[in-house]
Amino acid sequence: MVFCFFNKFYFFVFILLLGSYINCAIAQTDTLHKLQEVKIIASKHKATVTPSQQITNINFIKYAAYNITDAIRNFAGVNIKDYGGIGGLKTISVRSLGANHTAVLYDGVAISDTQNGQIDFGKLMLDNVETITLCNAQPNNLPQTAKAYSSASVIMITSIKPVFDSLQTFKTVAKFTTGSFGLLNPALQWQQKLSKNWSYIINSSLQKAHGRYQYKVDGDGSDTLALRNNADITALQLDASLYGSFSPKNTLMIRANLYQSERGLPGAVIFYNPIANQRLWDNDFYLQTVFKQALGKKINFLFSNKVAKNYTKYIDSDYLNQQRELNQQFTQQAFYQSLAANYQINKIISFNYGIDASVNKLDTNLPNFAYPTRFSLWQVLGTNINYKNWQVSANVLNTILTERVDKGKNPPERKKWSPTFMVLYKASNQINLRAFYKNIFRPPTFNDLYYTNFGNRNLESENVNQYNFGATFSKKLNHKLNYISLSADAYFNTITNKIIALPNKDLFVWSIYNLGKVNIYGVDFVSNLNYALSKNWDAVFTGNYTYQLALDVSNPKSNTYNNQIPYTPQHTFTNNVGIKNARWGVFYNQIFSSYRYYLGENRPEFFVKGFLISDLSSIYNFKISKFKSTLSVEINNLFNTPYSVIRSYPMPGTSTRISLKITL
Amino acid sequence: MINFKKKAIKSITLLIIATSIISCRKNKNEEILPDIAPIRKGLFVLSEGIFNNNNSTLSYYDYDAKIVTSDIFKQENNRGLGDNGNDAQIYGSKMYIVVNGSSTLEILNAKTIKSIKQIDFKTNAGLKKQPRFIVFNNAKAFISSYDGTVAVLDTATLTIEKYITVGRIPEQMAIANGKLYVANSGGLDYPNYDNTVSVIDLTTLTEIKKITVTLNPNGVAADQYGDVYIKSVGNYDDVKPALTIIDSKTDAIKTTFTNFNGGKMAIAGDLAFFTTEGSPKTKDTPAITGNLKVFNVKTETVEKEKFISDDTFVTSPYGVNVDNLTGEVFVTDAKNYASRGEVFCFDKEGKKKYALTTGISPNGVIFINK
Repeated sequence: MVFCFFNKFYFFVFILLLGSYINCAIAQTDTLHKLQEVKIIASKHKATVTPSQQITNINFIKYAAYNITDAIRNFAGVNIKDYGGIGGLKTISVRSLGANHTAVLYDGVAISDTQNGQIDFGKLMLDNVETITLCNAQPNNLPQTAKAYSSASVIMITSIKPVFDSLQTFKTVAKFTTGSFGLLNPALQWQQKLSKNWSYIINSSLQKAHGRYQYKVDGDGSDTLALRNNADITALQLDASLYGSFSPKNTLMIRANLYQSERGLPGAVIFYNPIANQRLWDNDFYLQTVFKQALGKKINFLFSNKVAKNYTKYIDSDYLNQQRELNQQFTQQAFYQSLAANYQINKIISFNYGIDASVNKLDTNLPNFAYPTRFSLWQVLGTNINYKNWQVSANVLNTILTERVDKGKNPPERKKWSPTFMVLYKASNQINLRAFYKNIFRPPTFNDLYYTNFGNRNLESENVNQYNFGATFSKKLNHKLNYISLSADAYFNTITNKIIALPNKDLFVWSIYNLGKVNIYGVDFVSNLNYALSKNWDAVFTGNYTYQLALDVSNPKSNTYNNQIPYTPQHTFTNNVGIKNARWGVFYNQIFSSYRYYLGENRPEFFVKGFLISDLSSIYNFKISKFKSTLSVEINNLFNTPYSVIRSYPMPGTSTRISLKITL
Repeated sequence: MINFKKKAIKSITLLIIATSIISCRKNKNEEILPDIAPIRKGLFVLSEGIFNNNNSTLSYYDYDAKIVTSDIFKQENNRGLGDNGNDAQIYGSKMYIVVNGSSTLEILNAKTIKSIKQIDFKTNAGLKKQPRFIVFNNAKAFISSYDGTVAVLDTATLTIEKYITVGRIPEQMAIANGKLYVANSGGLDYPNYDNTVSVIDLTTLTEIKKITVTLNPNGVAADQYGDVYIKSVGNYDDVKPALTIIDSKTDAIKTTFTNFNGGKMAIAGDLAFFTTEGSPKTKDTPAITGNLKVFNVKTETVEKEKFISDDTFVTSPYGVNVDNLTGEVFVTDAKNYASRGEVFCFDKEGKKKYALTTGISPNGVIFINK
């Protein structure tokens, strides 16, 4: 196994070197150098107090990205749990803290799931996304809702805003994607100008795929390929946003989003038992408004609210109960209000305050359920000081959670104070040094608390401390190597009171405890490079590396003590090389993950192989009569490498996607 | 006390009957192979693995070599046992392993562990039947499955002759007085569990009666006096766990012990052992070891609440087996159900003799003779 790993490691280095060799070779043949201005990219990598990584929609193609996890899988510190296939669950854990510690803000407003505590990123489509930013600790720009401070890290997604040429009053973008897994994915975008200050955008996207793919069953003695069945998906997304302003001092955005889907759940590969008949339906709707108002030059207000309803139906027609079917339905409702403001007293100091309140309800058809309603109140008070080369931010978050249940005892009220302290020192024009400390927690989910019979209403919140030290470097070097940015952050995280489920008596009866304790030692390294090959051609490179030692230190007597927590690779490398000009782009992406263990005990029998996966993508911009068009072709898993992220959930082999986009 | 007197009078006659009946208790080697010198070669431990993880294993511990082979099934057959091996027994020269998640019955040569046949427990539509337990009688094997059936397998031809319909989600079975007792748990029908025990006549192979017991029965064992012990889980709420004793002559309920805690059950001689759970360490309380409760089937009273008499710590007792030849008591420890487990061998006094590391969630020990 070790040998295998080193083999892969050398292969990876080889590819890396090969990549840079090709860059040089192309550069040498090019004799015409012209002055090239620094790309806009430079401004996007402005050093921030807490580490952040961003991708914009024009770069999705570089990563052959079909969904949000594809787009950010190269980010340092990110560990994606991908259950495989088009409809497969995809969750994101940042810096080994677990998916429940990552918040998602869509246009500034949180997407929440109080039942499971984690977001399935597979459900978020890319068609209407403009940027995705991962911030460790919390967002850096102000004002932000108090909720934005309430997680260990935040993924911020912004949607496409309507943009018009001077005489345009409307714009249509039609896109059609097809490819492996029987994928048919038409998407239509309509942008309409209503007046000088008002416009709207409507996105619709239909996704249909049978989702089947071949894979090798490992360990059942078979030597033929099996077919991943019951992997189909039909999903519809409708999204409409109204943008406007009543005066130059304010902006309003109203957004409505509908997501409906039906999918098969192929499940874990079970030896000698290949049939799966579980299905899942989603019907999600939300409406949110974000209103920003400036009061003079010093005060900014942010007023946000949201109503959301998520309905899930799960049917297992293999279930051997009396009805010969397990039918579980869940409806989550959320009401959310937020008011935030920041006040810039002078050039040096500013204050910010935010107050958010939400009500979350869970309804289900499960018998004897608690039917909980959670009332949450967050308040944050912070300050920013900019003095000479120093930038210091500090804030404290107060959280009060109360819950009412229809059945049984109400859990105790939870109150918490969570401080954050961040500092940035500008050592030179190119070099910044930064550090932060953040204490935060995640409350128990409804599942943790109320899962029929087995929930534990006395659970405490999972507590996280993050310590980060880092440096960033960015520079325009010369006309050729026109942009380089590097950043390295070392961190130490601790999780205490980690919520873990243990079966009790038998596998029908689980109990949930605050028993876990994890120490995480990590390093994130991020590099971006832009190299002018000629007047028109650029070579781009990004290379990221993550080291994570995430040790279970719960119980010195346990055989998992000081072992790496499950599904956490120690080493992750990602790199992306490409060449592009205004019309063409070709990109090659690689992701390497070292081996992992699927259980907390690091034994050879619980080993999950590491992998090196390559993707190739290309884009071509052209015109169909006078209409701007884009053709893109993507090949995922170029070398048809068999691998799995989650054991027993095989990932697809080589797959292709082709898509055509026309702007009318 | 009346019970005790009756029991004492009956015990002698029953003892004679009992020895002539092939019981369903797990350690039947001495009955099946009566003329072979009853010297143990070693023991097997079946580990369930984790649901949906295909990591059920069979370990073998050789008494002479004192070596554990951790996944002997895979070693001998170049394939995994599959998902959730739930029950393993040796009958004659063969070992039978019931694999619940994979819905298979693996039939092996008990000496070599080489596969003889894999029987698929699925309907024609491919629906898994989820087999759970296996018992034997008169060259026939009886396999309970979650689809509400007991399959009858001819151990000579290794084919299924018949499916007998029983109650919902049947679990353990035991044989007494020429009858098969099946616990119908209804375990997948929370909160509307089943509360019956099916009685099957072993000559006609038909269900002749359903006995109503406490809700959610899952454990069944027979003692040497012709009594059948039924352990019910209850509904985790107002109906507490119970132990019901059925007289197999009349199929009438003799006694029900309400609020009777105990997980897995094993009866050997006059003693029944029940696993009892411990509890993890919390801020306010120290960790408490899991243990065994000892019940005397002759006097029908609890003899000891705590069998373990030394400082052995059993985190999550998940199976109990007794070696009838040596009187050794084996307790399997599933730990956190997601790492390797352990099996502890105790002497009759509850002192640990040795411990072996097993696969994940070990649920039982099977003894093999030389």
